[in-house]
Formats: sequence, structure tokens, C-alpha cells
Amino acid sequence: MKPKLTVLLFCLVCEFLPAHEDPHDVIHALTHKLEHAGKAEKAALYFKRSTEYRASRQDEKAKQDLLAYTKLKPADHLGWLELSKLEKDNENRLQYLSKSLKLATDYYDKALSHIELAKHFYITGDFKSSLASCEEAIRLEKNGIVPVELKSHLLWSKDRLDERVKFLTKAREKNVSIVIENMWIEAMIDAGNGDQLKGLIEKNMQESRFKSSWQIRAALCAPQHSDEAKSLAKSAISEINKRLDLERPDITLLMDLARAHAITQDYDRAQHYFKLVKSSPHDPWTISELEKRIKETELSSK
Amino acid sequence: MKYRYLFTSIISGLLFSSTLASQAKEIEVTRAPYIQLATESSQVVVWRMNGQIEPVVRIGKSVDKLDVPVEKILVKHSVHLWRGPEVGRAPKDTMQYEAYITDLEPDTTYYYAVYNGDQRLTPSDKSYHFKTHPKIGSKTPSRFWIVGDSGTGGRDQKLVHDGMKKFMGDKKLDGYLHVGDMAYGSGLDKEFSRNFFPMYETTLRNTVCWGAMGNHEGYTSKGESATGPYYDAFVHPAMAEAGGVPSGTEAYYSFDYGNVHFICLNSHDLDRSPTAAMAQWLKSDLEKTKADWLVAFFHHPPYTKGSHDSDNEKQLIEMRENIMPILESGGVDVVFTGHSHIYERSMLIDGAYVTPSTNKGVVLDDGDGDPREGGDGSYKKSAGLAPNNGTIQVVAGHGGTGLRRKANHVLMSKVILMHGSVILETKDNKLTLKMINYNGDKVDHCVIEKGGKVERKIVENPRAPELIIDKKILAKTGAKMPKNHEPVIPKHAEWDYLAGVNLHPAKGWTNIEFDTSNWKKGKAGFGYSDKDDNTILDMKDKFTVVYTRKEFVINDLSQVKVKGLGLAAKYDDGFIAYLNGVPIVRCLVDYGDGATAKGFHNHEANHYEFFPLSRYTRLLKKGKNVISIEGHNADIGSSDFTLDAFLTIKK
Repeated sequence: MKPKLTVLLFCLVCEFLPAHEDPHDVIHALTHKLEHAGKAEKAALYFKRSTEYRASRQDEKAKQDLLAYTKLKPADHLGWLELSKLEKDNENRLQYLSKSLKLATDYYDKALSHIELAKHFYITGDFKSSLASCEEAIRLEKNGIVPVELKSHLLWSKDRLDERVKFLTKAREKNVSIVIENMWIEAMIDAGNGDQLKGLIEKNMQESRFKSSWQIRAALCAPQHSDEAKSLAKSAISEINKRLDLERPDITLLMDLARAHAITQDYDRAQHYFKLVKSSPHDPWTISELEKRIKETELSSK
Repeated sequence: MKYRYLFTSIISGLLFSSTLASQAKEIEVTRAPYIQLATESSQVVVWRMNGQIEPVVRIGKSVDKLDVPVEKILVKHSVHLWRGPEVGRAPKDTMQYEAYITDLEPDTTYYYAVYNGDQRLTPSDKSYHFKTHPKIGSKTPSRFWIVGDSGTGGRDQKLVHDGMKKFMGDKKLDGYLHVGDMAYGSGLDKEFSRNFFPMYETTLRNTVCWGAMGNHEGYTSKGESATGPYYDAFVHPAMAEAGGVPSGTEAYYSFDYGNVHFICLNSHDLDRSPTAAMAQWLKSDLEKTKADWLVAFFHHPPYTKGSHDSDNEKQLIEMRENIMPILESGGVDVVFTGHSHIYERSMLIDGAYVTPSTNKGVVLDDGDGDPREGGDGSYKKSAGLAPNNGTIQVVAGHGGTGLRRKANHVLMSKVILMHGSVILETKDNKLTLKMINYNGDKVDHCVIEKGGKVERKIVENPRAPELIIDKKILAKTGAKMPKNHEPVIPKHAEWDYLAGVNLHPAKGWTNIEFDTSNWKKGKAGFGYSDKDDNTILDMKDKFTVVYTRKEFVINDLSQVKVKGLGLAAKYDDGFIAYLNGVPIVRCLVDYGDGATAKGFHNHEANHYEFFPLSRYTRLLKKGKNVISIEGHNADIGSSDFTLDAFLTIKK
């Protein structure tokens, strides 16, 4: 069957659900429908129920429904893609993603499979394949932010710093997202081009209500362990502390705080805040990058 | 991004008259003109036709003098709109025209008209106008309309729109925020065309609707690629065209209106973790804004006990635990959401991120925020956007679909089970929220007043929320029991019943001849947990409906008709009763029956209620009759359930 038929069936099922109710109730109603449904309708009902199970944080049940769905509709890439997101076993996950990629027809569907593959290879330590998947995703979905972010991290982790700058320079021409812009600034600093950014950083600092992010970037442009760098980082810490409620922290501020303390060579505090970040929801590359940056700052001071 | 589908050529001065002449069908407007993406110097006008035309838009400062032609009109053909399955696509031959009007003066009203060549498509009518945004940072008063979960295309949606217009009178809106679920059931192109655009046509032609994607739009539109009918319908800022910092996607964005900064997030299908791209963009956006007021909106509510429970559902929990800390450390004032079909408005709170939610240590002001006589006074906040200085959460999921309440959320000041919408106003140092019901009446009113420095103080024992239930809903319950009555089926009699996981009776179970020999027998009431049941059912987290039947004999029909029959019932939460196979009472179950019943409302079984059945005595037969009742629990995880009924004759 055509993969898009899944969406069609799914839409037809949803047409009979006039408004979204509590997932428990929807699951109950779908379970009843499943008992009387024919094969074609059953697939869509399994898919829908898996969505509701996920919304109610019952991932194992969601996985079982997606397994049932993929048995009924093995030619639909979406089922395999969604199943891969719930699979903890690396081999199974790779198998599901390979099927999803093979079956996807639209270029943005293929891009989504490549993004998940890139994450999978990253988690399993196969950086080369992860990079290749990122590049495919970017080629297919020119405005995507996630594959750009992951590729940027992969290049950084392999010390391909100039290549990273070139890549992000092109990426920011295609997509004006501030997230890509900030990645490019970071890449420029890492590649030793921080002096070219002084005007840009100064302008942003003046324009911003909260200046700590820009103070940290300015500190990273200054000579490492210099008084100038430490002074800027201390200003950032001071501002962050005024905003931060440590009992209920904003994780983005904690990340900045860890980096700022590392710049001031207060590594105990940097590690303390890093651990708090690590205990919160995060993507693996952001956390690994933060950890490595703090360690590198510490090592360079010895 | 959807721009990939655009014919990037600018249409100007191209003539299609020969093409048109050869076409047999009449080309018509299929989506009436509506305005999008307002900034202080630009505006977009969008409309659809069912065929190709020579698109022309003219604007002017007077309705009688539309002397400025718009040069840039982008064209999308149906094959370039969402490429999903046939049923979800824009109809064949659809042409979507988007006129990008630039070089406008700020805070200025312009009139517009849409043409096919020389043929005017829109009437000469003052309502076809737009007003550019005031200069970013200017202290211009603002007035926005907020609606959620409205896209049924039904009566209640229309009434809510009419109610807002009645309330507004001659006052003008500066914008419209829709917090999602604008096109039930799957956000299909045809559902937008049926349930959204025609319903709000008179408002959309002169008021920009800024949308947040709901889960129903999410069935067919995807945030990751910003594709689908939802993204076809809206033109949102991805490049900070209207203020804020560029997000690079229409899935989440920000804009400014004078000194108010608005942030729209995708709570449905993007990564909601604090290290993900959306949160990183949010952090940068909050760093930059220098507005006096900060308003965020998205679909899934961080705090609710309406038709959804924010302590149990993934998106709701993640928005609370991951995103709210970023918003509050950035000084957010108000958060508008939907998803849960109810109106809930919080006290002034900060830092309430734990799961399950508690009101300990997070309430800064437990008053009602109402500065009018009899109210507790405005909520007070520091001037500017002070971090962690208090937020009001508003769940506005009451825009048109079935209402429901599980409980009162402990952080709410007002819980209102009534269809309506919200008006947000800012003026000087005050932000006012007004809940307007379907009649155009104001049902809730609160104000944030900013000035000086307000120290953060915690209210130790916050008060409970005030609950208001629409009389229309209350009317569906029973009346007070008559003082004197004589039982036909005695209280706590033995009934046949069917109850269990996935157990539902066959068709015709309410008829006299139906065989219940394999059903169980038990004394009424049926239920669990609240110590008022004779037959205990193991229902919690397993099933929500129980079916009961009781036969009874009437020997003298004339006596029943004279005296009047009635059903007495103690119930939690709703039921449907049948007499000899005919439905006679539907109580707090809006539609459907058995396994397909929907639209439940919470109700406690405090005492027997009386449902007169005198109009149904014609259904009675001499001899054997049967009353059948299906009892429904509003929530499978509910703490209790009761169905305890008997049949009686008023004396």
C-alpha cells in the first residue's frame, strides 16, 4: 500500500473523535473499537492508541501497539520510525530505522529518518555514520535545525573546527534561526576567530535585556584565564544568580552558570552545576559538549 | 519550511483573461480574504480561489480611495500545498494567493480590496481593513482575543464568536491568538475550510489570527518540517519580521505589539527538553525582549484538571517542568493554553514545576485579582519583566467543544465550566484579562498591575478555587426528590447487571425481550469507593461503564398516568436511562452511548435526584416493563463511581 494511506486511514479514524479527550478515555474507546474493527481499520486504531499511550507515559504499551501496527502495515515508514523512538535495544532500533528509511518516499520523511539514524549512530558511538546521516538529512531538509546542531557537535568533537565554521557559515545563510547563529558564533570562537566577533558580541550585549550569555561569549573570546575573561564571567554569574531559583532551576541558566564558573576556574562549582544539568532532560550531545568544555578548561589551567 | 513550495516569481501585470474565458466552470473565492503577519510596516492578505485568476490587491487609507496596488503577490497551487493523502489535500485547482504589502506606516488603518483583474471580488465594505502594528516598544494600548479548542464548526463555536462581538461592541481587536485545535478532527485542509475560516470570517478579514498548533492539527501537520494544512493556512514569522529573534521556523515564533511581546511555542510534536532547539530559541528571545509585558501561548496546558490532567500527560508535564522555568526566569506575565475543555485561570504563581502539582510554596497571591468593588484587588508585580515575579495561567479550551472537569486544580483561582473566550487588554501599567461567555457576558475579570519593586512573598495556605458551572449544564441534572412518593421499583432492589473490562451488551439490550440470563444480579447501588454502594465493582483503571436492567410490572396504567412516574437516581458521574428500549433520560453524557459515549461531566452522588417521566408514560405497557440504565464514570481512573436508581410514583 502507499505509505500515505496510513495518514488517510488515521484521519478517517480521527474524524469520529470530535474533540480530544483524556488519553485514558480515548484508549478505552479505541480498545473497544479494536475488538470490532476490520484489518485496515485496526492498523489505524493501533497507531492512534499508541499515540495516546505515549501521551499518558505508557511507552511499553505504545511500543506493543506500534509492533502490532507494523505487522498489519509493514510498508508504512511512519510506523517503523515511531517504533524506533521507543526502542531501547540498539540492534532493533537500527533495524526499524533502516526499514523506515527504505520505505519513506517524500524527501522530508526521508530527512526525518536520517535525523533519527544520526541520533542512533551518535548514541552507539559510530560518529562517521552519524555525520553521514546528518549530511543526508540536511541535503533533503535544507531548513532543518536539529541535523545542523548534531553535525556541528560531531565536527567539534573531532576537532574539525575550521570545517565546522565553514559548514555553519553556509547553514546560517540558509536558515536565519538564532540557534544556528549562536552555534556559528561558538564555532568561530572555538576556531580561534573570536577577535572577529567582538563588534557583534558587543552589539548583542547592548541590545539584550539579559546579558549573561553574551558576557560568557565575550569571555571565551578573551585570552583564556585572563582577568578580562574572569571579570566577564563573574558579571554573567552575578546576573544569572539574580534570575536563578536553585530549588526550581531554569536548566538553560544552569548550563551557562557551569560554563561561567569554569571560566573563572571555580571547577567545583562548574561540576556541581553540570551535574544538576545532567540530571535534567537533555539531548546527549549538548551534555557531552558541556562536560568536555568544562574539563578542557580545567586541564588547560594545569 | 513551506516556502519551498512557493512559485517565487512575483505576479505583476500578468494577464490571464484568455485562460479564464476558456474555462467552463465559474471561478469562485473558496477561502475569503483574511489577514496575516502584521508588523509595524507590513501586512499579508491571503485568500483562495478554485482556479487561476489575475490577482490584484489595492489598498488605501480611505475605503473609497484604494489607490495603491500591491506589487508582490505569491501564488501557491494545490499541488504545492500540503502533499498528503487526497482527502487531506487542498481541493484540485486551488490557488492560494498571498499579498505581501510593505512600506506601510505604523499604527495606521488601511482598507483593502481583492480583484480578479478589474473585477472586484470583495465588496466595498469598511470591514475589509487592517491596522499596522504600533512601533515596537511604544506604550500603545492593546486588545487581543484568545480562543482555544473551538474548531467543531458547530453552534457553540459560533455562539462564542458572537458573544465576543457582542461584548466588544464598537471596540476593535488588535489581534487574535488561537491556542490550537482549530480544525477538528484531524486538521485537514477541508476541516480548516469548514470549521475555521467561515466560522470567523468577519473577524479574520480585519484581525490577524496568530496560531499555535494543537494536537488535532498535529494529525496532519508536522512541526519538524513545518508542513501540512495548518502551515498552509497561516503565515507566521520565522525571521523575526514582527519583532523578537528569528526562529527559522513557523513552528514557534514571537512578535511584538507595542510594548507587549508575544511568544508562541509548539507543545505538540517538537522536542520540549530544555537543551533542544525550541528552548534555546526561547532563551535567546527572552534575553532580547525589552517589552513591558510578556505573553506566551501554546496548546498543552502546564496546569489543568479539565478534560485533561496535567499531572499525568507527557506534553503537559514537559511544558511545565522544562519550559515554564525558562519562561518564568524570563519574566512571563500570562500563559494562554487550551487542550483541556474548560476555562481555568490561576492565582499569581511562580515555580510550580513539580509533578504532581501542589500549591505549597508557589502561590504569590491567592486573591481573585479583581480590582473592582467586592474583589480582592489587582495582582501586583514589579515594573518591567522581573524574573520569577508571578505568572497567571489561563486554560482557554472552552471555545466550542464539549466541556469537562475532573477536579479543581489547586493553583486555580477560577474554574468555569462554560463556553467562552478571553479578552486580553494592556494599558499603561495594567494588564486585564476578561473571560467572556457565549452570551457576551463577562464571567471572570482580573488585573496585573505593575510598578516599583514587588518582593516575592509566598502565601502559605492558599484558598481553594471558585467553581462556576454553566446553568445549561446544571439543568441536565435532576430535580429535588418529592416529599411523598411510592416505589414501583424499590430502593436498593436487585437488578441484572453487566460490568467488566471490554464488556458491552449486544444491540437491543434495553428491550423487554432481551435475554439477561448470563448477566449478574446485584443490589443497587453499584459502584466503588464512596461507601454508598451495595454491589461493589472493580472498575478503577479498568472500565468506565456498567449496564443495569430491572423488570417491573404495572397492572393499572391509569394510576401511573394520573400520578406520574419518576426516576430517582444517585449517580457519579452520568447515566442514560431507557424505558422499554426508548431513551428517556440522558444525564451528563453529551452524546453516544455504551462504549461510544462521550462528553462526560463530573458529578458527585450526594443525594437522590428526581427525573419526572410523566411524558413517557405512553411507553408503559400493562404487565411487564423494563427500565435499563447505563452508568458512566467520567474518568477511568476516577476515585469513585455510583449508580443507584429506583422507579417511583409521586403521591
